[in-house]
Amino acid sequence: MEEDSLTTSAQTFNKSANTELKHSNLTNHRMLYDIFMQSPAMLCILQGADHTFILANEPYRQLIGNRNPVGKTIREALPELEGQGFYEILDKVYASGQSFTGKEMYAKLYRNGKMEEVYVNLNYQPFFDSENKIEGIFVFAYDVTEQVVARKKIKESQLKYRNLIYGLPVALYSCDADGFIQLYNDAAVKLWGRKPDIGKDLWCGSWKIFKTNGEPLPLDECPMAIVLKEGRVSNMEIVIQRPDGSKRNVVPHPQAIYDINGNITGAINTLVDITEQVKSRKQIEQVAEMVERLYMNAPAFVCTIKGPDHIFELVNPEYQRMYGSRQLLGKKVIDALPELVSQGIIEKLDKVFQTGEPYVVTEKLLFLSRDEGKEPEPTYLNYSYQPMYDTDKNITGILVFGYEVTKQVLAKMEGEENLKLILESLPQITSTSSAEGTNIYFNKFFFDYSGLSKEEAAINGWNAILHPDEIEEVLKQWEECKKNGQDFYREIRLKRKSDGIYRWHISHITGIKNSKGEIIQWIASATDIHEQKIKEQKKDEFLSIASHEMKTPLTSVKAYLQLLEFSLDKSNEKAKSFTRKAILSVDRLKDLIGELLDVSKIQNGRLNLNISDFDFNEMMDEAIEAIQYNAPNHSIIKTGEIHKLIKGDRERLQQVIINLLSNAVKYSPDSKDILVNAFVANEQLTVSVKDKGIGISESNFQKIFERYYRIEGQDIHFQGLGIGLFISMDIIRRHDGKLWVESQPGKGSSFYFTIPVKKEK
Amino acid sequence: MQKKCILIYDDDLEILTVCKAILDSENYRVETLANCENIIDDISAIQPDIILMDLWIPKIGGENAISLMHENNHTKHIPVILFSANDEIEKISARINANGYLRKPFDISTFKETIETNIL
Repeated sequence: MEEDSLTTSAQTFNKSANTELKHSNLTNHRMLYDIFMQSPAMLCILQGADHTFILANEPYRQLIGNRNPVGKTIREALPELEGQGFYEILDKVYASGQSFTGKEMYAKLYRNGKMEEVYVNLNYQPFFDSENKIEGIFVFAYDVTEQVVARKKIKESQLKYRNLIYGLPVALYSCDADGFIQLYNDAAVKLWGRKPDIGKDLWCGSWKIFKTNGEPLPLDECPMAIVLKEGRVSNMEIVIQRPDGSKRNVVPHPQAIYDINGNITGAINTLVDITEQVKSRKQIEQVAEMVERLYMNAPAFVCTIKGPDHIFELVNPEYQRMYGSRQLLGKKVIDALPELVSQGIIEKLDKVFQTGEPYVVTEKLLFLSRDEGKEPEPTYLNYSYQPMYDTDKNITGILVFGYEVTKQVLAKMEGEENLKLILESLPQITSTSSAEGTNIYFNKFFFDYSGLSKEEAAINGWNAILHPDEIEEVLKQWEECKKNGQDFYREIRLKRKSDGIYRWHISHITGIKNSKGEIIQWIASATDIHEQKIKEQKKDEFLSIASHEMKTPLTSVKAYLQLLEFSLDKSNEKAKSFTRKAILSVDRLKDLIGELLDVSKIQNGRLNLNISDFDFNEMMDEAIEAIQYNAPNHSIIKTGEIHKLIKGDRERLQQVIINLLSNAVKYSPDSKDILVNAFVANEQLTVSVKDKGIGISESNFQKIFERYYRIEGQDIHFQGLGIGLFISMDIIRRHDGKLWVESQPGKGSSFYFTIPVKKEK
Repeated sequence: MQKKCILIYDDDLEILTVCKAILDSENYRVETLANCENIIDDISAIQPDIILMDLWIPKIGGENAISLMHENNHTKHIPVILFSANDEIEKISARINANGYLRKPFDISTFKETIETNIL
């Protein structure tokens, strides 16, 4: 409008000026001059190609800093315009005859002693002479500096706010009264995932909107629409979906904009993205749900007790199960479970509630009524009281968590009680020690027997009562056992306090192992065998004396018989033969006495070996010779020899060979040959004695090595006590060897024994 | 030449008799005693060339008698043969440092051999 009025007024003025000038009417001229000079608009007339001022009114002069330009060219009058484009525009107008209209032309003019910025609207209008040639340019201008500056300030301010809005990290947009989007910021674009069309998109820039329950929300029901239509602010949470499918949880904050008459002219909406909060809220909900599930299904009992009065707020099924059908929820503990009052439970709850210190107890015995109207019964529980806090850290209640252990405690108590009772009442010395051998426990019998105090027992233990002659040996053996994890087994003498006698005991220490097979404890016992030991010693003594006493007359009998044999004349064959037989019988009697003594020794584990290196072959030959001498009808054939020294008890091993040979002779009455073999292989000496006699059925292979076992032929009675193989077996075992038989009835038997021999160096 | 002397200690008179009977024919002088309490005096009186000592002899016992004898410089050189029905005779004779042993009952041949081998 401004532009239009400017052009119109300039043209009007120009037209009339032209007309007036053309008609050169003096009155008119004067009048025009006056109008020109008094016009509030800035006017000047430039003549010629160099634009010489021929007229400039007062406003114009004021514009150019009260300078009088008349008579000067524009370049002379306003040299500061050099480079500002005005000269060039004037030149162009003059040359072309085309007028120029400029709006808010910026110029720097020298005024008031300095360069000042001005904005002018101006019109350069060429005027012509009578021959229609360009004579000059009529300049019409007015100063619009103030308006331009004011507008620029507003624009700058608007820009500032715009930038502020655009830069806000919160999504923000505005709509006009009809709901068309007018403005939105980067955060909104980011949130929507798209750029809406300004002036076209309605209500919201989202691609799709949903309610939080997943139902689609029509655009015209969105909070922005509601504000614009009804003026009602709705901060309902919505879910917006972006074109890429992703969804965001958003709370809109729409605000209507009113004009001074109270009419809605538009609305501004900020969209707060709460997706992350929703996520974490959902996580919390999930956790809470999990906790609740756990709580309700836990194999442990859980309940929450609220407030200083301890009211049951929540009770899980396991907790309820403990009390049957008794009503708990909503009741005070004191009312719901009155039997707990006298058991100090309320005080405990009070303390936790007041101090916030948790209370934990294991294997607590409480008497609980397990159902409505039932008598309280002993119940063992492991449980804890934990204070519960509100967000301000005030204690609001107590969380009870625990489980019942009645069965376990009773079983354990029974077990421990039984074990202790057994150990305590054992009529023998019993103790336990750690894996390393540190004394832990001694039973009552130990103290009764030893007379030791608990302190003495703890320090010295068994050593305090062990026979001094045995301590060293015993400790050595015990160390070995601990090192190798083996049982300790030994006869020891322990001093009895009451009479000071060292009584014989058989002591046995065995390791108690854990599931990994590691010894965790040793249990030691000592059984009094003193009486048996003494009796045994007496029996041994008696047997020893008896055999000695029996052998003494045999000695003289045998010597006399031999003397008799020598003194008999060679012609008295019969008498010589009888004497010979008598001597053999004496030898047999001597052997039987020896065997009886041996059996007694074996039974008592006292058959001692007399180990030495000896010529095995020589020993074997002696044995063969002795048997052959007494069995002239058999032929004992040696099929192998050993030409080296063997370590062992010469006499006892000979006893074995003699036993095997005499058995071979005895059990092969109808067959002649007996084969004896001996060889060393694989660090083992093997001796075999084979006969072709009556043989043994396999079912008897074990029995023949038993004490007093005898093989009975159908009609034949064989001599002997039936202890020869029993003794032989013991002798071979004591040499760490083996003795066995291979046989078939009617085909003969082969007896073998092996003993380990050291490799030749 | 003087006959070599054998001193036999045994509490069984039959043993002593039969031993004497065996050795008499062998041209030995045989002295027999039923107890060994005064062994040192016996030795100095008899001057034996060998002693046969029964292990189980009353009062002080054969073992003690031999150690007494071994402790005495005048008697310790005399050979001693342990003479017993005891099973452990081999072990015992080694322990008490006897010159040999004779197990009862014995063969006359072994008996003679043992004495011949050990007599001074």
